[in-house]
Amino acid sequence: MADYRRRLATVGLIAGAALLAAMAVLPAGRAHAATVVVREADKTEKAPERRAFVMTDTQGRMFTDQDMLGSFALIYFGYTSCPDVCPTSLQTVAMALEELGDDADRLKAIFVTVDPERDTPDVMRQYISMFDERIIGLTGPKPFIDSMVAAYNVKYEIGEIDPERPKDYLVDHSASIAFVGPDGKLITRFGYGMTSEQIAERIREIISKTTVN
Amino acid sequence: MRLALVAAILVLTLTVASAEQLARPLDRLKTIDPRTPVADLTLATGEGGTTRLSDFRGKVLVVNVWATWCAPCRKEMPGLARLQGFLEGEDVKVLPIAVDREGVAAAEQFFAANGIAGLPLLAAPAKEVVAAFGEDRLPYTVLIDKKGREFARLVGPAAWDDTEFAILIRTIARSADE
Repeated sequence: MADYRRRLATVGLIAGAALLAAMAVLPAGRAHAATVVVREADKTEKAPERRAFVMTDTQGRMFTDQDMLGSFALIYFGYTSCPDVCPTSLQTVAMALEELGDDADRLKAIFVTVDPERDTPDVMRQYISMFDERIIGLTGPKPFIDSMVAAYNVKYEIGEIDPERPKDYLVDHSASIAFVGPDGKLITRFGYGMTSEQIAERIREIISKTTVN
Repeated sequence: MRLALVAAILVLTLTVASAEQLARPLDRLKTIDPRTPVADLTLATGEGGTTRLSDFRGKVLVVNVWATWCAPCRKEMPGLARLQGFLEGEDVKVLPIAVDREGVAAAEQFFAANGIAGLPLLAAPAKEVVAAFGEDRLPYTVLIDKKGREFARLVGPAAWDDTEFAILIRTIARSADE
């Protein structure tokens, strides 16, 4: 009898602990776990994991992967002082934001410099102002940038032009625009050469299929 | 007199030095064969009105697509102004089209701050320019014949005040219509 009671108490204790644990875990987990994002198969990705990073915005504030949670995000890696041919990707991002209208409120557009020596927060702020002030400019110490670059599987190289082989100058075509879900995980990438209309259309499509409950 | 000579040499040296950093147009131009008609872009003008590319039919056009945020674009602009100066009186028009969000105002500010004269203030929405020329990089320059057909294109900056290039354009402008 005593044995049975003890067993009951143990079961009760375990159940109580489980309930407590669930109560502790649930509120924290709810915000992200319930977001259902439709993802596209991406050959370059093994698994769409959330990628951690710590950077500084153009106001000098800390900006991490946690600051993107709950919003979709467009992340573009680039630099402001292109020596030869300038990619128009940031302009494309700005135009896509414009085309998205109110839907743009559901996403954060982020421009990460890969050239922190020249792209000081001031330089970036001024540069971004020529496109769309909603774009968040991120910089940081080189190792931090490299870590974010690695986290998003982006490749970048800044090279001087060789006059003998001007075509070899690298406008990095792999420097596509990453589209990240409200859970911080990659959804897809928008390749170099996609128009702002195409990007806006894809974003709308993905946003409309995403349910947050 | 001596001062003027020194100044002239200095100017010449600076010109040569700046030209050295930019590629010669003839080295990088790609000819378009067959010549293809270009889209009839509507351009905002410095006077607050609009003009169309087709309004310049009958002239050889050096259409340069640029933006004030693009460093190499800024660098080649003085050369484009000098090219227009070299070809004064010829059937040639250098048309820099700014794709800045601020449009003509951005170009105007840049021209004023850098003493660029003799070039028209023109701008068009980036989206329309991309649709017309299909380039997602800046700068690039499209050469258009008197019939409104593209015959060459150069992506990237160049020293447009290059003498050989100026002679080539003048020859094309003076030749009978094909």
